[in-house]
Amino acid sequence: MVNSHEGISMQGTLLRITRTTAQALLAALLGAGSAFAAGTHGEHAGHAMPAASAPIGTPGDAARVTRTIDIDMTDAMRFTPAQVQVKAGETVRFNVRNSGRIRHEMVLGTDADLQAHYAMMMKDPGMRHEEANAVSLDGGKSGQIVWKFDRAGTVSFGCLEPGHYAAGMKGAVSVQ
Amino acid sequence: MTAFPIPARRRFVQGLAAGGALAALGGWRAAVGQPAAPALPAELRGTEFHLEIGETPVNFTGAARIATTVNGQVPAPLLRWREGDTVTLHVTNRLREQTSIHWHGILLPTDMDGVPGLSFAGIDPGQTFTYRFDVRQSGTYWYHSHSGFQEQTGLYGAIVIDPKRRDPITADRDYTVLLSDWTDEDPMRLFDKLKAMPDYYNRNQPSVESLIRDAGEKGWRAALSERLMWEQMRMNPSDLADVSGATYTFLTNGATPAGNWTGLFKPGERVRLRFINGSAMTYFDVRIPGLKMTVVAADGQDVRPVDVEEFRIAVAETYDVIVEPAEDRAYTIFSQAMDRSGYARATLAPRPGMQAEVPAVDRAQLLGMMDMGMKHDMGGGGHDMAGMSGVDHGAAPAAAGAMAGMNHGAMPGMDHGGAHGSGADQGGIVEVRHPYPEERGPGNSMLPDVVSTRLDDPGIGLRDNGRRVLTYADLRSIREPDDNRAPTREIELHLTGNMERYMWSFNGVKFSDARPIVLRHGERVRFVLVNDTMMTHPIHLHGLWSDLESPDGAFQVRKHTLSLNPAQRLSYRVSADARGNWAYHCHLLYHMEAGMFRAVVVE
Amino acid sequence: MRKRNMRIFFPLSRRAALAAALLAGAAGQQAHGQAMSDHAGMDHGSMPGMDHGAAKPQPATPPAMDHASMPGMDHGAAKPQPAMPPAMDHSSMPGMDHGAPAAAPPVGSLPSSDGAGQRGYDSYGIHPHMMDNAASSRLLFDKFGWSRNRDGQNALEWDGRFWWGTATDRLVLKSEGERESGGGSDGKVEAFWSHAISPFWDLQLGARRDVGAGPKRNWAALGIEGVLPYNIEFETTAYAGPSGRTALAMKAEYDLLLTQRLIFTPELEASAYGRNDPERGIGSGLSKGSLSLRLRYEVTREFAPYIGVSFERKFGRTADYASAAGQGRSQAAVLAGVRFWF
Repeated sequence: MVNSHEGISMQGTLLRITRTTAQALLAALLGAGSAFAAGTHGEHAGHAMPAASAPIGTPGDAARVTRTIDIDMTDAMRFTPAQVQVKAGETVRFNVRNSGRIRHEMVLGTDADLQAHYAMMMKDPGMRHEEANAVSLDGGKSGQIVWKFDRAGTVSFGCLEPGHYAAGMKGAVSVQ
Repeated sequence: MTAFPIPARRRFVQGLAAGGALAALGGWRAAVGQPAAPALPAELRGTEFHLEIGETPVNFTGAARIATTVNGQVPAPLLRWREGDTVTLHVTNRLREQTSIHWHGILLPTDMDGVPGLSFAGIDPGQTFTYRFDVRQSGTYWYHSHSGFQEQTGLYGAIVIDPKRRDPITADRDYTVLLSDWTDEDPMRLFDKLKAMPDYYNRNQPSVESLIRDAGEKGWRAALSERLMWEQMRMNPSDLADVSGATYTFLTNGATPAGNWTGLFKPGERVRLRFINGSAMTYFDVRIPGLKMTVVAADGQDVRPVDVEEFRIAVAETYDVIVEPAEDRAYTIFSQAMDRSGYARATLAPRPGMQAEVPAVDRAQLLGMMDMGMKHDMGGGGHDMAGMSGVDHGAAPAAAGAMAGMNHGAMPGMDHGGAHGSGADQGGIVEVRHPYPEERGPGNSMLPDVVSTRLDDPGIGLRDNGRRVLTYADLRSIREPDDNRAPTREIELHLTGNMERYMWSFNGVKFSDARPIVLRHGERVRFVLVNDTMMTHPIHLHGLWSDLESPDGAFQVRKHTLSLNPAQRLSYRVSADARGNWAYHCHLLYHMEAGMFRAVVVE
Repeated sequence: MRKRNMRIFFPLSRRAALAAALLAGAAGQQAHGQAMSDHAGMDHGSMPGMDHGAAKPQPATPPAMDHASMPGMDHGAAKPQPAMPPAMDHSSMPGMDHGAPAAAPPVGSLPSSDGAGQRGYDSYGIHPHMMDNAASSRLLFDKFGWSRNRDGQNALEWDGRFWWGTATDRLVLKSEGERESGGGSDGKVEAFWSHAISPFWDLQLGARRDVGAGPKRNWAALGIEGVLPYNIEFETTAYAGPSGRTALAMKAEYDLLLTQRLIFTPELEASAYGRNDPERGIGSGLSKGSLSLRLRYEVTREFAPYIGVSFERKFGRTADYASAAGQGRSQAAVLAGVRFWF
């Protein structure tokens, strides 16, 4: 760790502000950039993920899992359970099982993210979900998401296979 | 009521062990005599195809005949396309008469649709016609001739379109199961026979012998009163299929029951079976004893997976099912004709040459009160009251969250109580008007008083058979149509016919006497179909999707072919989003040729 | 295919959030447009008239908009499903309505028609290829064989017909009679135009000629033929001849299937005349009645040998003529023959 939390210097503060601004600018640029990349929908458009509009957490460290939750995905277009509760700061392992016959997935995000991601899924058919906040499973298979929920609020999840989310395949993590 | 005279015709029904084109050529397989695992239908992939339509000697039953073939094969080769590609198909006609190919269920420009006299002029002898269109969909479809009776003599084949995105349906094996009917007779002669004697092929007619059998089951009073009721109506309760196993040998992927087409698997694998009914006149009731089937697609469209033990596949429909055979043994794919006059048989096995027990054909059920659309119960016992309840509990939309996950229509005939919403018909029985004068003309012999939507009715022959049978109420499209507007007007068409005269039509008016149905481009209409007749008809609209409505009026499932039971009413929405002339007809070939056909023009 | 790792965007600042909203708005429109050309899309060269409610591409909207105030959207009633701007209630996905089921007006409540346009097929370039006007034909002999009566008289008996035409209009030729081995014969030949007037009945208009012993008689004929309730095949014809002759004939028959191939057919015939015709041994009034009972076995549909018995009775003046000629007024016979058609 380079940063020291001991003492606050003028320089340090300036540095932090600069860093934060730079991060924000960079993120905005990349966000805008990916908007255009997504906008020009060619066949080989990059799998440009929309920027999340609110913090939903970070990929978790498997070694620090403090809670395990089993989630089942069914062909009835449902997650079981669809509502879970965790505490802020927890690292949760979701053991996700697809007990159906067709592919389902579980993607963590805000509602805006999920909608945008869904729209892109419809558009770019070859997308694969290898991000830490998502798992895509063939029928009968199991997988996992390890996620750290940083702050209190609600983090949604949903299945973005065409038609599934719309049919009600969604849920929420309530972070206390 | 079995007593189907098989022994004298066992050879015909069972067919040759190695029947087909090879047998006619005296190929070595025929000489060997033992049923080898017939090869899969030939598969063609890519974006450019050359299809040659010609005549090929075949031998399915011991009698040499000529079939109409594509590239020398019956069924025609399986075409494998990719969604997003542009496909070019050069079709050459080597027959002495005109031909055509229609791509069933495929969205394309109207001049590529392949209906002579509507889409294009047809393909003359010696001519090559080039079809070219973008593939905008994925799933299981099929193609067939739309000229004369060529569809009956062998011009039918499968189309499998792989999706652009990863297929949500994953399987270790993927087989097409194309069911069809073969007759050694010349279909024109067959058509003439039907006109001369409409019940020519019905070997299951009510007789004194069957009356004695019925009396043994229901008592003399019930049996007699029922028999007299039908006699008084001048209708035949056993009239399920115009053409039966009396002349048909039923094929699976071009193999007779003796030929035993076999799909291989390793125990524990997931197998995807793409069932296609490419027959001319036969409804098949399909089951695989010992295996549960999960229906995942209908007419090429993904549906919510539903587990069934049996399903009825109407002419021109397709169903994709997933099975997971776990044991190291063979399973029989058993497809019996709706009138129980015969069956098609194939096998799923770990190794070639295996067979499993073939079940006996079910007893044929006769039509009953519900099929007649009679307003009042005639009293007396013994009527077929299965599913008589007026309430159709099928297809509550997904938003009724509590109902999600439940298999609707689980028990045939079971009444879940409580019609949904309000309105004249929530799947219950409604009185039907007959607004068209020709419905009372010579072309229509039956006018039901009441009809019902009853999407949860599996149909004659499948009610209360102790198995979980698929119904339209179980089919729910996963995706809603992009254009899911409510319709702005209705087009009501009655399916009409007179079996005595072998006349079939819409609204009592045959095709040649009618005018085209005209739709405005961009509008969304509701088609309301009322089946006045006592037969089951599959109705197919070219070029535009049919979005079936549930009794509540919500979107239920998207299909290209909808089957109607006797005295049933269905409604579905159509977006007129493709200009041109589109054929609209009953897909029972001889009904279509008799006039049960319309042209739908989108202008 | 380039992929963007989502990790880069976590955590984000508010500016990025705005950018994301812009992006999502753009993507939302694009997705909606694209989705239409994707799965299940049809000809979208033009989509005029397609009303997606407020589906026109939305500029970026601030998040958390109250979707109840969406222009053109009626969430209560059954309405089309427009694409909603993002960052809204997650129950409104593009193209999806999560609220009440999208219930359309009930069947029967919308303006209804048979959909037929004003113009015929020609104006659309449609040239039908159906066979719904095709003619077919059939030659049928209900009876063709021998009879032997109580007096030991053998005769050839026939009852046949030929039709040619469509399901509703046919040319029908009928003939029935007998020819004794001794030389006597009696029969008639009729020709009709037969027109379907109802599902079970035909109207027949034509002519009849009596053949056999005696002068040939010619008649104009008008009759109906069809199926009565209880599946009784019935035909009755009225005749009018020159010099005021009139006649009426009727026939009723029923096929009782004993088994799928063994069929028992009782048949009742009767004829009446307005005038005496002594040259043909016919008296006025009810002239002749006959009942025949036949049992046939369908070797094939087209070929069915039969055996049977027939009873014939003459009445009134006809009986008198018969007695005068040395014949009885009633007669019985055994029959054997074949019913065939093709």
